[in-house]
Amino acid sequence: MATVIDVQHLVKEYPGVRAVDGLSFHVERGEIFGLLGPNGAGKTTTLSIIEGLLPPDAGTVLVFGMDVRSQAFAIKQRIGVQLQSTSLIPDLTAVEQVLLFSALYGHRRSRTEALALLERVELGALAHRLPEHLSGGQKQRLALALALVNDPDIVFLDEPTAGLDPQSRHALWEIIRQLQTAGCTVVLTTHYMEEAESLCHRVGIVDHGRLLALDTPAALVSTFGGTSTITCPAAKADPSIHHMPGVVSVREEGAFLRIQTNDHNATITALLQHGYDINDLHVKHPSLEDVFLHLTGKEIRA
Amino acid sequence: MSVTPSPIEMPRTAPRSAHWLAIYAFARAILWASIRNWRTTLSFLLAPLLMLVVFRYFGGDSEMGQYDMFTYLFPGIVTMTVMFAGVPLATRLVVWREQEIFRRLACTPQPLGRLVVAMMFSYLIVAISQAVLILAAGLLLFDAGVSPTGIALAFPFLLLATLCFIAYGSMLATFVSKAESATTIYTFTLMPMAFIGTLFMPPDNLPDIVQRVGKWLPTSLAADPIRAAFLDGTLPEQWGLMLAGLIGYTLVFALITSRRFRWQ
Ligand SMILES: Nc1ncnc2c1ncn2[C@@H]1O[C@H](COP(=O)(O)OP(=O)(O)OP(=O)(O)O)[C@@H](O)[C@H]1O
Ligand SMILES: [Mg+2]
Repeated sequence: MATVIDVQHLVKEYPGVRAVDGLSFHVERGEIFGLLGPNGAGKTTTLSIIEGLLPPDAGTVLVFGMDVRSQAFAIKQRIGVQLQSTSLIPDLTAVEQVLLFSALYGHRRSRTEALALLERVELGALAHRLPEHLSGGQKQRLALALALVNDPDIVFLDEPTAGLDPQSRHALWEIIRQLQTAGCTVVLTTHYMEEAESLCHRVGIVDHGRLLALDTPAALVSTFGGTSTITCPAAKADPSIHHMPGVVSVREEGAFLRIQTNDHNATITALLQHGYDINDLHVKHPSLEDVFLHLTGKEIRA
Repeated sequence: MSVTPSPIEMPRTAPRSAHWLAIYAFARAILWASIRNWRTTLSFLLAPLLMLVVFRYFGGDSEMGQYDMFTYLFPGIVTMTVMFAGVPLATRLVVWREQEIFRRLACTPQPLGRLVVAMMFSYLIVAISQAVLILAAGLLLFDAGVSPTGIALAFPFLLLATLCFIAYGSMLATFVSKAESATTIYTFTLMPMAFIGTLFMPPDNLPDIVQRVGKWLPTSLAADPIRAAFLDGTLPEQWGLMLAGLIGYTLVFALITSRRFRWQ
């Protein structure tokens, strides 16, 4: 696989805050790469630098092997961007925006082609509406369509599903997967863990401008996720639970027992042997959310 | 980190013609936006139209030298029309910065400066069309007698005045963060420039020093030659200097804009 984005020791400071603090990672061609982090972690700032919108204070960023400082225009020709704010032009209809943005990339597109692109994000019926008459989710999808007008090799999506209903979110995931299948590299940020888990090949977790971990969601979970939790009715509690294989701790919570285990298969087998019914047991495996909270802490940031 | 270049990874820079396509499409889109917002666009004609009506029918018999009031004021009214050109531009620049539309445009391979120039060009067309409407209304509905020579002589000054106030509006947009402040500052600086200068009539009752300064304000530099052209079909003796002055103001405003323009 070829590296399409190579970020090395990236630093960006704003007055009083180091928004990006020595970030290094790379993105392979054709993957869906996710950046996760609490509010203010530096995700948008990092993307802005890669997109050539913001000069870095230190470090290097290569996109397609070209330096963003010196070859931003050549890079911009081949990337598509959806900003965190949808940033639509207020006085142009959806189809007019698609035509204008195509022209800004030097593509002469017919109205039919523009409508086909809108169809792809399920906005075909709303092609002649002004942004003020679109819902939040529809605006978001229009912004996504605008990120695709130049058939980009990489698309950057900054919280593309923020505020979408579950249907729209799944539809958007489908579009993103189709993009990836067609050979496009996707870099996205999100606050939805299940989105990162189901969509991203690799996920980087950032906080305070630093990379805390980077791997496939599964590998992150097995490295940082900790124990599984088995819940069973406390009424049937058996003191021997503490000594069952894999059990780390047992806690009583109301009518239920919460058993932390690092080998849920062994623990469940032992529970069944002790007369528990499989219907009594509920197993929760560690998820990316546990990894995220483990790495970034649980307190809410200002 | 080694990067293996492959054919599809070679830079695909757009051909030169693509830049023109982009600029043309952008200017056209802005123009279209002004037409779509026709209520706002036409609202800038209300003040000059009102002045036409007031001075034609309620101007009384007062005279300015050898001319009646309406004839004397008409060139100033047409000039005033283009002087508002900077208002919608300044508003749009501020709003687009606020809504991160310039940021979005900066993601495309078009240099933003070029797009802003394309935008100014669209507003130039809008403002000149507005002035032509007022001129036509004056000639056809209000009996303003202006010779074709007069119109031809005035035209370059009208064009330059438009450019100058477009540049002025964009410069103001770089100093403020709210669209309303842009409009307010624009109006509150244009008004004194109009009355200290000679946009409508010479400020005879103001101190001499104010009158001297007023003569060299952009309002006067545009209005004096346009008035001479409309009234007598000639240009004032100092027309060259006036032309240079207008160009000078335009360049200074444009230079400050290009130095200070930030899209975020
Ligand atoms: N233009 C700016 N001027 C000053 N500080 C800024 C600016 N932009 C961002 N910051 C600061 O930089 C830090 C990183 O911001 P950034 O927008 O990159 O975070 P983020 O990870 O995208 O957060 P969110 O999830 O809320 O979008 C924050 O502390 C923010 O306050
Ligand atoms: Mg952000």
